Amino acid sequence: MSDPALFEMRDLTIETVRDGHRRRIVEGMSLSVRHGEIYGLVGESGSGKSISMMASVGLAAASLDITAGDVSFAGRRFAASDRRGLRSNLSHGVSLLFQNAKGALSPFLTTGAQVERVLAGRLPKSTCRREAIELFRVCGLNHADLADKYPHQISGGQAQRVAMACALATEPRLLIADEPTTALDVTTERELLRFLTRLCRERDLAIVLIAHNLSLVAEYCSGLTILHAGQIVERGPLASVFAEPLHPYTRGLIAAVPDVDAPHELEPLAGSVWGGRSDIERCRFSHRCPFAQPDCEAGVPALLPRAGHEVRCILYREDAT
Amino acid sequence: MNSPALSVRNLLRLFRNAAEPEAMPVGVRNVSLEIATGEVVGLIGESGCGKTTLGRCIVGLERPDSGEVVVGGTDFTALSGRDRRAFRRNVQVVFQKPETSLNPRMTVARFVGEALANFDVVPRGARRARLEMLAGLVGLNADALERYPHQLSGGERQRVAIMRALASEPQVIVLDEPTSALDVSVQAQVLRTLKALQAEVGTAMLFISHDVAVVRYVASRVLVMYLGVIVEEGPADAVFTAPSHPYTRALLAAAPRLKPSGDEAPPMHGELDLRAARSGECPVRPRCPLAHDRCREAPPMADLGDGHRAACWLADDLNKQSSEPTYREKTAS
Repeated sequence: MSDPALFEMRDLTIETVRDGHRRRIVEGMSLSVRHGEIYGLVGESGSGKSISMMASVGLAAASLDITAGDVSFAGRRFAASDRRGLRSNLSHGVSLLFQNAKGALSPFLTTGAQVERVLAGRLPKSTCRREAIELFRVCGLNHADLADKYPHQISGGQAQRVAMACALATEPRLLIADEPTTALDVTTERELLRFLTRLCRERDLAIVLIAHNLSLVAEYCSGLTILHAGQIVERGPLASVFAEPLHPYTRGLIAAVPDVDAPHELEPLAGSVWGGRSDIERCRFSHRCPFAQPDCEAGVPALLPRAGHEVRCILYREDAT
Repeated sequence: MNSPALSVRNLLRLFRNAAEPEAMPVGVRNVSLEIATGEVVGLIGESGCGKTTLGRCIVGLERPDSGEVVVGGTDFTALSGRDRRAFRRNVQVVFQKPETSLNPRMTVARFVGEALANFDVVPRGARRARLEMLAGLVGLNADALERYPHQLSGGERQRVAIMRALASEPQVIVLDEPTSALDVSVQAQVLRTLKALQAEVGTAMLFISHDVAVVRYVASRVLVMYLGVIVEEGPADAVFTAPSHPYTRALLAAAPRLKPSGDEAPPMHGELDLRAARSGECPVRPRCPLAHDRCREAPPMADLGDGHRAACWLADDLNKQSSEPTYREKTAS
């Protein structure tokens, strides 16, 4: 790749102690995002997708132990445990967008005031208003109509756009969007994602789109990583992963999604993300996997390059039959 | 069709916003629908379209301003006091979040047992056996009966909510976004359970959801609602493969897909705006990409055959094969 990555997370490992047991909730997580691309991070609840992204900007809960890894963004590198250093990225080009926009906005400030408050961090006060009007316009909002309203007076879609305006106010190069459309209607969801896609093109903004729904990622991302129980199970260019999904988990996720155009029987995945043994190094999908064999629990399988992307499964070892 | 399990006639329930007297009230406007025994009907639409209000009126959590909710020949809305309470047995509901609809201080057996005792469904001595039977129906292990909600996973909790709804042997169950809070894999399990129940128990179900793919999977018939009225209805296959209302088309086109379909139905403009809507005209007009002069008048319900109906002038044209540009020609341009 000639284009150096804008954002790179390497070997992030996060541990926590629960019921007296130490548990690795994210294990060797790596992620690389190029300028202006939309990258998908997919997994069920509890798979570690939000936690690893929050840790990458120093926002992991204090109770979590970040035991390994580093993160570099726009040429600056920090150890993953350096929360303070990582947080400085939030004022140097990383912005966040959350699922619950109304919760992310202050209920005590009008929408215009919230955007201006973020702008005041980098601009003289006299220009904040002008810039806020511009940001509202970029986000498809009418400043005259909405700037004097409080979050409870606007719709969910509008609130997400105001949150978007706040996120853009720091002139980010990377936006971490954590399930930004889950609370929205499909029509509003599509509008917001199209808007994000356009922003990427026009402003060279990169986005990490965290989603539990594969079909969202399918339409808007160029590459994706699929996480299960804190382990990367499969990753690569979107077209390649969708053309030939290899990991049983990826296949399971795909088979569990109902299809509007061609309804098919749903094949639910058995078990839960964190079931199975936690005292050994293993493929963390082994307890749910229809193809599990003793070797799956003989260590963490390596990520293997196969079919144009990477997969962590012993079914694809050289010596596998 | 034999006599319907549920029949809703001209149901009206509106909520006015005192702060904005000019805006259209939200709610349900003179909706009529029927669900046969053993039928699953899907109800889709965006937030604010009135689908939850309709569901709440059907199960008696909301008193309609006017209209009837007839279950097994009795008008539920006319009942009060003791009769109404006893009648609730016939209509049950499953909500979106089992975390808030289950009692955190009761085990599953006690929680569901209460429904059995309340309606005296089976004699006291037979309750345990019935609980185990119900658990089996929704795919729960018998040992889950002694657990508290916090000891169950999200999918298991939703199964408990379904189990409690089934306990009183209702004729109708309203499921309001029952899988929206679940992960896809868990959603798949719950949906399969619902489908299996359908075959086994045959209770009529109204499945409310904003997820059109989920509705396509469970429902045999579909209603599409917008601003309190049904704009399109019909057999699921007909509505999903040949949607005839511009709103339905936009809604289906907006659904995320693993394999993007390439079908670019013209999207709706903006969001539902209650101030832009006017009573007496087509409710979709302010957002409709195909709106024209006639839409200032409420459109007729065009009958497209086989129970497929759409409230749109263009669908009506298509139906009459008139000389004016048909719906399909207009959308193609």
